[in-house]
Amino acid sequence: MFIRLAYLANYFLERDIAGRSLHKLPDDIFLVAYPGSGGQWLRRLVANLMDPSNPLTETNVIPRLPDLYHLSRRGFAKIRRPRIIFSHECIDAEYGRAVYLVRDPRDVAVSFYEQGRQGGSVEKSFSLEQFVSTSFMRTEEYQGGWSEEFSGSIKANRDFAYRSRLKDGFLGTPASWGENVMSWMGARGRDPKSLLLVRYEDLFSDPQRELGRIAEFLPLDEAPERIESALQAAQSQATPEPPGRWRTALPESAVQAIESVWGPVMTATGYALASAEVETTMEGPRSPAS
Amino acid sequence: MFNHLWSAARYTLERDPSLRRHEVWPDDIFLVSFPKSGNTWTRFLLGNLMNCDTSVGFTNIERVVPDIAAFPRADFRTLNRPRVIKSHDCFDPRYRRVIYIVRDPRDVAVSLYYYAKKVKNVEDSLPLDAFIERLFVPGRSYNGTWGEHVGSWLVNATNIAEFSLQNGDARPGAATSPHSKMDVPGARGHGREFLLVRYEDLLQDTQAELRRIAEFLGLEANPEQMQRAVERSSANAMRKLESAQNLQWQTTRETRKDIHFVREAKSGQWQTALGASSVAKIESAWGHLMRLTGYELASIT
Repeated sequence: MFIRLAYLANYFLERDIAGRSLHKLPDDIFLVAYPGSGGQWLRRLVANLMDPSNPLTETNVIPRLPDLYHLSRRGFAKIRRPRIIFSHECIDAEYGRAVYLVRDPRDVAVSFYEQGRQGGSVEKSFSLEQFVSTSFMRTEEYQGGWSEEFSGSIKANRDFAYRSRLKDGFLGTPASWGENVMSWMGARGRDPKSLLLVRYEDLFSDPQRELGRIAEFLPLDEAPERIESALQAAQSQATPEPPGRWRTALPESAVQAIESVWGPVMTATGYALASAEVETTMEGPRSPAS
Repeated sequence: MFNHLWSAARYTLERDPSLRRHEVWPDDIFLVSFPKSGNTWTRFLLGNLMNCDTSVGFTNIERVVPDIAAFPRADFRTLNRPRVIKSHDCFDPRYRRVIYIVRDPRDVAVSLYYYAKKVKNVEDSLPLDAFIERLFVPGRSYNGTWGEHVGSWLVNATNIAEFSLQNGDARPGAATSPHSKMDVPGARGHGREFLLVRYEDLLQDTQAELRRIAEFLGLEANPEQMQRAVERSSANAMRKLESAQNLQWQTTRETRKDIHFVREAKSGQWQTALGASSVAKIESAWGHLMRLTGYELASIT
């Protein structure tokens, strides 16, 4: 009850966290990525592109490109329109247009695990294999719970002051990787006007081209020199992880677990399955070339 | 200021509609559909089946099969379990047990048009074919477009390739098959229980479909009880209830009374109501979903 009264006070001051129930404006554009998919890198790229003469710092990222989970209602009202907003959510039909960043779930698992350990949401004693079987692939219930549980950085804020700004603790939930990707593809996979699908791996290998596509979609000035300076600014802030880390980092059982459940989703988003590679090798001797 | 105070008070007392703040219990059953797809009829069928002693009407339907967008959050805790809850929400990962009703989008469009007039959402002079134009714009409504709604609920690992076209360029392995089977749309795995019901099947053989739904819910009902539930929920019975109770039901209270909530209760209205260009627009936008759910396309072969 006390927390509800505190919420009420925050509500009056419009200091409550926007979360999933953010009041959307018709010209809002969303950047959506499942946690561990390189969303923060995309966010930095776009934020730099919005104003290349003012490189991003830790303090100006939220006012420039806010996410749903840290900024209050009052804060959102002050953001300059058209707003570009970062989100981890499954399909939300109120998002008029969205850029969706998808990444190989095997790399997502590795990245999510490391982020979770850093942020404290994954126990230090937990191995990557355990994380995949008991958390990453625990698809029978929505991932991460009702509120701030899903992200280490948000979990670090779990004090009364923050929680009293949440509408009964419910920020949203990214659910599982497969559900998140499928919900967006299912709703908008055939409508490139409302959903721009970007693969992390393409963004890594040809950032100029991919950022150009994103700039065109948003739309932001897509002049090559602007894109170049946005890229350089983002690069100097943090280097993105190279794709394919799972090949050395992820145990085979975890690879199998991911592919057996989400194999077709991976195929549809252009990720070759390791189990298919094995089959190809086995067919090798029978081919006429050998 | 008054609005502010009012919504804050409603929130504190939990009198606000549940929606995304709904506390999902693991045994909750959600009756999900896009608007105008036969959800209210199914609510009545289920309500009458679950309450054999009292007949369900618009005055008590909210307590029997409550609407997640209308029923107060606090009152959800007072209901018997398992709760059967009506929802028009797009895919929500928290829903574990889902009955999904799908209806031919061409008929949905016609029904939506009359409903929009009834609730005074559109100017009365707006022609049907002009109304159709508005149905494809994403981001305009909480429930999404028909295609977003159905696609978000019916996509799964088996049929994902159908949804993966980007600018007409197929990703490797993303071939479209001309006749996708109805085998498991939406049964996404992930521990989710999912039952797909077509409105047209429900019309054609109400008892058989109701039996499937009852089995899914684990409801035991003998043929007489089934029969009675079907009769008490017939279009005629519901029309009579509507004219007697439309002022007591919050969905219809403040709407035009010359357009009825329970309308034709038939399928295939679009064939006479919709112009060829509207049909073509619907089918080119949502043809992949219509094929997936077994609706024959008129304009595209």
